[in-house]
Amino acid sequence: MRHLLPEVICKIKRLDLRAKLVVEGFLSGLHKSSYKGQAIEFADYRPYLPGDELKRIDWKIFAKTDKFWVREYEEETNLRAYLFLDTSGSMKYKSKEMSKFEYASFLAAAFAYLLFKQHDSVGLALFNKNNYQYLPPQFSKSHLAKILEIIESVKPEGETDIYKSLTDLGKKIKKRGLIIIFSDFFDKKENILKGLKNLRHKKNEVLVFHILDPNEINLNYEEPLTFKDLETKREIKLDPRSIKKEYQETLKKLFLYYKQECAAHYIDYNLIFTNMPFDYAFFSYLAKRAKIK
Amino acid sequence: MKFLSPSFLYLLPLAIIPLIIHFLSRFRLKKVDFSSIFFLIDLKKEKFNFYRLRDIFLLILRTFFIIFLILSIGRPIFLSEKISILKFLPQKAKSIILILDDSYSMEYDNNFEKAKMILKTIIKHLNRNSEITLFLTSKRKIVEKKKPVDIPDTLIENLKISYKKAYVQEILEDIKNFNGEVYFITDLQEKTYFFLKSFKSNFLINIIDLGKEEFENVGIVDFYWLAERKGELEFEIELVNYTSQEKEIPVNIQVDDFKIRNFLILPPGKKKFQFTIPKRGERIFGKIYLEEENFKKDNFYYFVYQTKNRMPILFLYENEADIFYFKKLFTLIKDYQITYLPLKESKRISFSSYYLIFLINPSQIDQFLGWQLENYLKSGGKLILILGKDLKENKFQKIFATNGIWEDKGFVTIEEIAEEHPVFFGFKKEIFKEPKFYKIVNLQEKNLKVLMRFENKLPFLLEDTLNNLMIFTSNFTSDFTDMPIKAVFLPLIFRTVEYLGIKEKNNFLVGETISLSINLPKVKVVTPFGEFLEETFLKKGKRILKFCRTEEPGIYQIGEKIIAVNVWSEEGNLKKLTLKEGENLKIIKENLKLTSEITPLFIFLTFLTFIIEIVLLIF
Repeated sequence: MRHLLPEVICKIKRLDLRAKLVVEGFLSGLHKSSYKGQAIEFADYRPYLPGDELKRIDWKIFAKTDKFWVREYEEETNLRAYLFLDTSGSMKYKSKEMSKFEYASFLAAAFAYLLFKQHDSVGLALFNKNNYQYLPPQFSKSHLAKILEIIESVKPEGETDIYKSLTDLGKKIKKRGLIIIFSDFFDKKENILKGLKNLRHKKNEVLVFHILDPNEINLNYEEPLTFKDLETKREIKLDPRSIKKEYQETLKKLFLYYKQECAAHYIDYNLIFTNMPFDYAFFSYLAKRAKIK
Repeated sequence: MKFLSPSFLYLLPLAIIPLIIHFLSRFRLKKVDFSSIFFLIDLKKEKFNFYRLRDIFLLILRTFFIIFLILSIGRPIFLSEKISILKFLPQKAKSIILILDDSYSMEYDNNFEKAKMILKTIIKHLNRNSEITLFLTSKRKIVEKKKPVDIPDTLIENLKISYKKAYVQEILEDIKNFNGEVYFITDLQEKTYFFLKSFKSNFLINIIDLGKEEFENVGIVDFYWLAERKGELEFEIELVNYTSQEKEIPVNIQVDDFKIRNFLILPPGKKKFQFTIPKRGERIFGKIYLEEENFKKDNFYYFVYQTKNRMPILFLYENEADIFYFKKLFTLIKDYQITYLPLKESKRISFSSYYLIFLINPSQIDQFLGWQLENYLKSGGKLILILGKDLKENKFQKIFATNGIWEDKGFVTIEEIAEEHPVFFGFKKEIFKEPKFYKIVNLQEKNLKVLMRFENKLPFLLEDTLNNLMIFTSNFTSDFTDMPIKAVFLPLIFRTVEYLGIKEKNNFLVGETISLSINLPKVKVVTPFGEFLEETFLKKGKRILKFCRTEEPGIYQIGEKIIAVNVWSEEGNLKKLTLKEGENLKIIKENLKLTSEITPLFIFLTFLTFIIEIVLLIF
């Protein structure tokens, strides 16, 4: 499982290789997992009804029982998955090797790869306050390559307006599907919730990965400093030690608020730190995927 | 609050260093990128900043740390009472002589610091047209006929205790025609200022008395080498306990890396103690010190020991009978290597191989013998001349001349002796009166120093210090004197030999001039307070060094020679002189108390601030 650790993954330069390594590593690590294979798998028999296609009749059963039985399969249509990746400036923050954006983009790439392997169609949406980039879901190898290329090329910058971004993107989604959001959610909590609820309102399944750097909660600074906001470029002089405890309390309350509010609206909320192994996010996804079935 | 070393207070501005560093660091805060300062802004507004408060507290602590440290070095004191001399100061302009006792006894109870403060106050309150002359009792004139404004405080503040004797009597002699007022600030020690009891002068002397009736002190009074045997040296020290109670005092003896520490029970008064130390080498030096806190200045004694080889002594005689008693005497004393030689055979030997020559009862000192002896003395030899004849032919006519023989009036005894001379240390005067003298060579004294004199005023023992020559005017035979059968004979001869035999004195007191014969034009002198290159001078063919800067006790190295310099032990006796005011004497008792020196408190505060800071930084 070493290759699921962020510090190992970040040493690989090509994003597609990274995604592949992460996903294959994850899959090979699974034993009796909730992963059930492709949608073309056999499910059950039922008596033939007028209008059923003849090719679906099981002729061997007919030979044995002299009755028409039709084979039923799992839904054959692929899942539509939308990967929403926050590209605002705050995602640039890093206390160690890997920034939040790097972590989120690896995760997004890995999900794209995983979904592709599952024959699901994957779409991509990159957003910040001022603009967004949207790639509708498709299932093809070239589409996957394009997604990976876009993820690799994008640089985080600008401010965040999650409500606006999510609302705009929500309008783009014509068919309901699974929306996976990667963001640090540095915005007003009410706006974030409103945006998420909007997505959920359209019967989409929503999976949220709230990605943070460990130092963003630990605030491990031992001297008075000038803090510069990566989005607004505003500066503030303060002694972080003086507010550390209260800051941590505030964030914990915030996480709890997100967790409770998301749960209330059937949104899966996952708090992830950039020092956590990637498989944590995959397990969350699989749990969600199982629910969708 | 005042300060004993106020010049250190100039360092106080250093206390703003932490403040400067603090503000510099406030303005130059390290900048870090942070994802969103949204929560930080809100919390900063809400939060009472403990760390900021802690930083301010640390800043205050650091500032106080420096302040306390500087104040500690400045030695703060509280003046508990006002100076009473002020009401006696003249209002009109006058000539004033101020004498400050800077002898080391003034160190007791901070008296010197008190004296300096009184001195400053007097100068400040004198009429501005007064003319001030300031003496120190160590015989230094610091200020001569200056107006008060021309005497800076720093001049007084920088004065230091001297280890020299107090020369007040001499100073007062020098100013006996002075027409003004004299102020003498002193602890008024009995032993030092006893002469003030009968002091008479034309001017009024105001004694500003700082001394106290009660004092506590233990000191080293004297030191003697007793014996050298089997690789060990035995010595005796005399200690004095000035208090009325028995004391247990730790005594340390240190010679190179050898150290011993003994606890001595010291009853009130003087007591002698013997010690033995290992003898390592021909020359050893070291120190003894007492662990006593009341008054430390007299707790040290430095010593030097130079091993004496068996001294070769030559006896030149004409008549065998003249050396009869000497032969008997020197069979008892084994420390010397004695050669007896008839004078007529003296031409065939070299005198220079003998450390001392006894020339006994020569009938003449002819040209050749005179030349031999003169060269011998020039090269550092020592001569004891015992006369029994009226020398007609005398090559040393310049030094002494005989003037016949005194013999026809019965007998005479010795009446006068120069008691202060080292030859007579420890002798009772009466013992010299026992021998009878029937015949004496009547000697013209010329430039000789008479050490002993008969009752008929004729000299018996004379010394020529420059030439290391001593002359006895009586032969030691039964027709001259019965002295050889008296108890005084052996110690007198032995002491005379020892006195001449000591190459050089190696123990001095502070203030004494070290006089040494050194065959170099320049010589390096290493003292406890620095190194000097001193020039020697020629005197009658010999190179002499006179080093008078014996300002502090300690071991002095002069060329190859080691000298011990010690303090004048009498200064340790702080017993006060009781004086009655007279026509010319006014006593002003100052009960100024500087005893509340609060330096330890400030040192404590310095450490306390430091420890609080460490604790704050840890937690």
